[in-house]
Amino acid sequence: MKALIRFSLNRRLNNPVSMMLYAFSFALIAILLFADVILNSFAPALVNPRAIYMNTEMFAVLGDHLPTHLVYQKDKKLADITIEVRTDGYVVEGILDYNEKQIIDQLIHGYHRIIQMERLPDYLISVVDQVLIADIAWQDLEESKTNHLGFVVITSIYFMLLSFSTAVANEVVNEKTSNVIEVILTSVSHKHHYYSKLLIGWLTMVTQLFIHGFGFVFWLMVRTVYDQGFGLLEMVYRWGWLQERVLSFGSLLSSLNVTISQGINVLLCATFLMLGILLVQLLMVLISIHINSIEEAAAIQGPFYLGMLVIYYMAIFINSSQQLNQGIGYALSFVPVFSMLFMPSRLLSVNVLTSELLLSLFIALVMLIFCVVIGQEHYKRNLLKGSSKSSYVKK
Amino acid sequence: MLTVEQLTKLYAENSGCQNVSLICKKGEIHGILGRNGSGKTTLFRCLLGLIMADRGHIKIESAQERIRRFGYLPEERSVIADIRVTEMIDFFGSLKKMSREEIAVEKRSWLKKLECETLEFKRLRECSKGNQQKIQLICAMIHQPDILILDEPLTGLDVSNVKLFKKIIVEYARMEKAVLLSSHQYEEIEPICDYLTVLEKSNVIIQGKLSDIKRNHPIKTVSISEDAHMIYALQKGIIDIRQEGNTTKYVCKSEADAYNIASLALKNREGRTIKVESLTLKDMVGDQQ
Repeated sequence: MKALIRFSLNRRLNNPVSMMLYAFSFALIAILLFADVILNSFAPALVNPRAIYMNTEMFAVLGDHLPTHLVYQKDKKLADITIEVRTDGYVVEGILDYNEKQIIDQLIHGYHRIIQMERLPDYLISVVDQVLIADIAWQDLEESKTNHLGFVVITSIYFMLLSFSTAVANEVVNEKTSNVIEVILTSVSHKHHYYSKLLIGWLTMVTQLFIHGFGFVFWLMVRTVYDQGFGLLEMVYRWGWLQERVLSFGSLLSSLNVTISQGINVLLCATFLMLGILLVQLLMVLISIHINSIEEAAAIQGPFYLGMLVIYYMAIFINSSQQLNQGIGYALSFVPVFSMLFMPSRLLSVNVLTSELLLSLFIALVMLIFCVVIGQEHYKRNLLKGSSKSSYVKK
Repeated sequence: MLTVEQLTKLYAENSGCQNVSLICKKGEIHGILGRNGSGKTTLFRCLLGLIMADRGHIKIESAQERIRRFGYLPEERSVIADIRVTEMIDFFGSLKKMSREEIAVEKRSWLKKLECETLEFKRLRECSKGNQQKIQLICAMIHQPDILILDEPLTGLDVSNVKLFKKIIVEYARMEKAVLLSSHQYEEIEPICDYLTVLEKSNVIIQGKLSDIKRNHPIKTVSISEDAHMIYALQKGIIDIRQEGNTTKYVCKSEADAYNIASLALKNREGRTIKVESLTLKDMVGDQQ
């Protein structure tokens, strides 16, 4: 079994395509973590803030409201964008794209309104206020944010599940179609072959995560030594992807305010993911032993992929707090296979009781063990079925 | 030593093998013959434990670790095409729990014996069919199993490789190993087989030591060269006449009939070659089937 796992892992991880992928991933991580340095040499305008000129009176009003990618420039000649206040209006000069135009338009309108209102008598101010300014209360902002996160998590889990499960299933198909399975089984029992296949998929995933994780940690350390990540964080802040300005990776981490319960939630999501991967992989392997040719693979695996796609779309659609707390999403978070998507989704969107969590984990685990035990006999009976010269017609 | 008693595995009526008993001692080559679908592969699969027999016993006397007892060369090509020859041999060696050093030594030796040292770092898909067969044979023998099962080992090989395979198989049996092999090329395996089991529709129809089977078989042949006109065709006891070029082969009912024709031919010899022989394995098995 050890030899089988070692050989299979070596084949998957140590081949020219995988090497290219690792190199690509390593380079990509470097590019992402040094994006500001790279962009600075090609397109500095994307990284550096644009200088905007306006008179001091205007700056006193708008200074705090300037977007992160614009900085105030006192000297008109050095500015990329200038705003000139005239008696009959405002003149804006500079090369602007549509978005920047919109932003400056809003800034000028705001400034104009404030200045004009200051000139009005007090009794009129409240009237104009009521006419011009609508009172809007944004109450569902937090809700929308968590749903977005749920979508990201669901999609990531789904694609990880499918990609790793498919790889193992294809290996079984290859061994069957090339008749190698017959020779392997003279040295390894059906049981060991079965368990090795389940372990291989899981180990491949862990090893690949480790390899890519190593690349990430390596470049993160390099970047930390370089400037603590300051340049990158500045660029990200200017692009509006960070709410607050932070000066280093360390301060970014502390600004996230990760609590212990959030950490536990992430770990639990990972546990559901692992259980899900094992279960889906097991089902894929059990389906794949019925495949006798490459041509059959699509026909037999196809409906399974469709089923998985249905679960994925269900998880995407059933993603509101209400549905996840008491609707169908709540029920599905306890159903094996579905729970691998719905429970992490619930964990990230709503408060889940520990008892609910443990129950869902228990059900998923029991289902996995049940499938592993039942699957073993199914595997033994069907592994050689349909291989060359077999005529498995029972008496 | 391998002893099989009343082994039965039936998929359907006359499909599989039925009540097969055989003994294959150390140093012997046991040929399992039969038409397609006669049950040879089923028998091998039962012996290897790939499928469970319905009934019967298999007894193996071997000092080797269980996992190393058998070596198997399946009929169908079973190679992992995208890996290198050396990787495939290493893999099958490690499956048999051989150490790296052990594998390296045996691999070098077998590659040399099978005249394919140059293939070591080639990918299997780049190798010819015959060479792939050689690599498969190495994978089956690298751990030096006490019982070697070869299912149609000579299929698809050219003349020189058939000769090489036969030599390797005989040498292997001489190392006090039991070899079971099946083949359709009866004339090729006849010189190397010690014992024979012929299967027909799942049942054993001929079994025993090859020399005994041939000696005890009543039908004999007389081959006479320069006899294109078949001048002895009307003699009694002839059941079949076959012509190969100018040589005529008279298949006779009994040994006496064969000697009668041979003595007539001797009187009129005129430079002819006259041979009285037992039936070949091919004729004999064909005759029974």
